[in-house]
Amino acid sequence: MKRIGFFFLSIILLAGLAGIAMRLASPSPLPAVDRETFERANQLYQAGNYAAAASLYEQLTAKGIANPDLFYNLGNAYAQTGKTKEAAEAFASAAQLAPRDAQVAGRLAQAGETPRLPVPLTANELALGALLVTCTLALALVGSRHGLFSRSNV
Amino acid sequence: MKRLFLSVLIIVAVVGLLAIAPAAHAQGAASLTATVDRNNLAVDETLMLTLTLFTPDGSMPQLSLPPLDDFRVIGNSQSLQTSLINGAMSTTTTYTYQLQPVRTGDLIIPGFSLDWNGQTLSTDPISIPVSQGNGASNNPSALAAPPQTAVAQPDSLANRKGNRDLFIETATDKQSLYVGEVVKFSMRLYNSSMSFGQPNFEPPQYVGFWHPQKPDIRQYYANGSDGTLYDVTELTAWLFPTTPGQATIDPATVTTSGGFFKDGAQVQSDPISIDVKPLPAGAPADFNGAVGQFEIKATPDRLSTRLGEPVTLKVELSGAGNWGTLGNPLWPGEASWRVYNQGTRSQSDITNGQMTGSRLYEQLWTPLTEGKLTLPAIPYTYFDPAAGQYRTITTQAQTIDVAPGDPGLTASLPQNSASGQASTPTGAAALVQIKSTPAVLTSTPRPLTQQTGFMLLVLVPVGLVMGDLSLAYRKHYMETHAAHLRRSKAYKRARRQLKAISRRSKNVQLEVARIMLTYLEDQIQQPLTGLSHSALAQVLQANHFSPELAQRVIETLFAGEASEYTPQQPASYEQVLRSAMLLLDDLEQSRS
Repeated sequence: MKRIGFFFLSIILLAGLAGIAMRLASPSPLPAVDRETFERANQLYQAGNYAAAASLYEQLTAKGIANPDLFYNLGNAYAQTGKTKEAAEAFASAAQLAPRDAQVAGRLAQAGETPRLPVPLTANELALGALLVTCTLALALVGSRHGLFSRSNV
Repeated sequence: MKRLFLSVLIIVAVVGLLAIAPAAHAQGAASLTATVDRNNLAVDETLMLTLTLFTPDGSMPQLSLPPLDDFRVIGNSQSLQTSLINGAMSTTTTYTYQLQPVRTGDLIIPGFSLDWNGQTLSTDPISIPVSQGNGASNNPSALAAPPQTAVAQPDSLANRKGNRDLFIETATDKQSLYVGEVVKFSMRLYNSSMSFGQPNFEPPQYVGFWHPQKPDIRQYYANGSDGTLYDVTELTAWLFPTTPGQATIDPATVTTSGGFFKDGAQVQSDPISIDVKPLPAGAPADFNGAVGQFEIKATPDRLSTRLGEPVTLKVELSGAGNWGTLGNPLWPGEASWRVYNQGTRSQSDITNGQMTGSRLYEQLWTPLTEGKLTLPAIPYTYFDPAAGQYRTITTQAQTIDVAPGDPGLTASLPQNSASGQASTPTGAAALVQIKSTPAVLTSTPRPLTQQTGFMLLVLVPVGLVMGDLSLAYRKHYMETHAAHLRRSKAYKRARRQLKAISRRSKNVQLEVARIMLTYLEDQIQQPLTGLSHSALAQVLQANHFSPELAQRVIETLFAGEASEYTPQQPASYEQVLRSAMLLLDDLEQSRS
């Protein structure tokens, strides 16, 4: 009974921590004006105005907007204007935000870059995973100290 | 099983923590480097000194050039590159100084140092051997400027900010223009003050504009109308607005570090607002954003070929306009040809306030049928801001004689794009599809590892383990120090209990006796209940209580016992308590 209660409380604690962390890491919607700028930049890109498109994408990134689609499109615009170094940086930024996006990974590889993180996880996912693992370890230590994993306590 | 479980958990935790390490490492460290573009020069030549400052937190500490004994600063510029990686902003600021030696010999450019968040960034001194020159300069723009010219307004639109010794004039050659039309921005800094080092100049930000290259910077001397000699730094930039509406050129700021007889000063120019008009409605379908005046021509490398053997077509677009932002031609579809792009070469330059350039497309047109085929005319539409209207220019259509050839050469050719048009003039890269605008554009917040809230969460498992260990320690301590704890708390507990005796208590003396007995049991660590008076006196004296105190204790206990069985006139409530308190204090004092 004691063991069941401990596991129940552990799950609640882990779920609570994960919920708060995911809330901290959740993306925030941007104003409509930024969406319009993004749309306008896409139109310029489609029309072949790559430098103008890149300029608008840059305006969004300069505002601190961190969106993988934005960096991906910026990288393509850079690539079209011959700015290969800047393109590679933009693709790397996009890959950090969306490491499992095949399109982004493909363009990153074409740019001769490798992902900055060794696993296909974002930095926030890794941080969340490390937090949960650390919490699980702490709970296991506490549980084992109180004999909750011994057979006699079943 | 338990050990195995714990081992797995520890391994997983270590791997998890190691995995997060690269994210933290990605922050990097700040750095400052100094480079020169040449290792030796003549006394009448100049070199470019480039200081590159990288800050991983996006901050932009000010870097001032210290006094240079051996060089004169001819010009300077500053550029800023900001990158946002995983929400973390880093900044690379490049300061470029054009230096001219003032004498021959082995001259030294001193090392530079900068304090950044408590970290000292520094560069090594650079030694430059300087020889005697022949009188020719490698910097005609700086030295060919008239040494003393009258201070003049750049043009009629100039506005001036500052004081007599230090002021900025800014101007644009247009106040209203179309999207994509070039506007010339000029800024002149006049400085007559003798200050330590060079003024620190922050150029304006051109938000809403595309600008093709670093601005031109010239430096020369000029005389004002009152004879004051000014050191003039002139900056010229060509800007192309990208969106309609009010575009603003932000203020430029100049800060001087002061001199012997005056404090430093800061001057900021006024922002310049420009009305950017949208391009008129009714643009032709093939309009791709070109603004200016353009020409287009197409030249095939041959007028006859064989089936399956390609003709190389060179299409050249040239003229003056927004070369940085204009689009490519929309290539006409032609079912008789397979078209492949060989590449594109572009060049552009600023000449007389216009951005002129050319773009050369090279394509392979492979005939799919025999006979007389036509290389179609290629249209190109641009907006002419001078005339305020759209214009369409075309190349001349060309007729190509296609003789019979090997049909196998055409069988394996890949298809054109879906529309049958060769619409990918810039090569394979143009086929890359971008991401469409999402329904809700979101921004990822700062990395969790940089958020205080997350760091507080990290403390939870630490607190969990620490709390558990603290409780265990406390439990262990109480178990091993029970006697000591009981003894140390006996006095306080007894006083508290004595004070808690209510005036309405049935038998105050009996309660006092019990409290006193409990106190003594705690102190002596042995039961005293049931002992005779003589035995109690012996025990108390054996535990270093004086005979007088032992006697008072016995009297108190006796009074309590007597009050329980023999009704008698008790002393007053206050007197009993006062005596008990006094006895308790004496006992405690005796123990200590």
